[in-house]
Amino acid sequence: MKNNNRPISPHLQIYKPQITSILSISHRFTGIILYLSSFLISFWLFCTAFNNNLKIVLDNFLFSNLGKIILFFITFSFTYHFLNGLRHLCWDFGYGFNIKNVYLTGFIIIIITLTINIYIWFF
Amino acid sequence: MINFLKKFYSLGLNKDGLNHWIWQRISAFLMIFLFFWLFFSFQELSINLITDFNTWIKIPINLILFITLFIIVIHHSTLGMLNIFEDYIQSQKRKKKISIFLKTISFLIIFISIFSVWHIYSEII
Repeated sequence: MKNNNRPISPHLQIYKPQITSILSISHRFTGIILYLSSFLISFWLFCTAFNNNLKIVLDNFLFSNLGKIILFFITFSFTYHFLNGLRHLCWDFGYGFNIKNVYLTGFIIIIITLTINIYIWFF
Repeated sequence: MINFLKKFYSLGLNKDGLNHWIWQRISAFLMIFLFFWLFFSFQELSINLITDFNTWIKIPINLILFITLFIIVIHHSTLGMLNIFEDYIQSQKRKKKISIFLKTISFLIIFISIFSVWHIYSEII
């Protein structure tokens, strides 16, 4: 019998939170944020090319507090996704696969991401 | 060989999982270099991205690499989003519909961005 309502892997609601699973889910989540931010970039390019008034409005919005919060999420997502992506590529070449290294590189990525974003936004 | 080329030219957007995986890695690998180039390019010129973008994009090599980077970024994102749909959408019918919608949106983003950038490039200073 075919059951179409069975849970699909990775089943987020019941999966025990661990650094490995949290980082994996975060990688996807930041990927979604980056995909959505490409809409913003595309819209900004369009305004830059065709509508200077709209560009000024958009630039003012991006320099406002809400705009800065959005840009913060984008830079944070970008640095995290970029660094974790490098980690994934290392795994693809067969490096850093044992559990000790997986945890270690996970922590390193969190620290570097936070450092870069603190540097960008506060210095 | 023809079969392999067919798969390769599908850019990972068909149903073949291995091809999808390989293209996601190829695009990720290319993006590493292109993002480093973009970062150092802005650093070197010490320009404000928001105000001086028009001047920067008028340099042909910047235009070519920026468009290349943008296409690769959207391609990589689309593959990633398709991967998420593959994991979380149960109904095959709905999955197919959303995938087509996503590919259309991605194509439109690329088209609008390239069209806009090309317009800035071809503007008379």
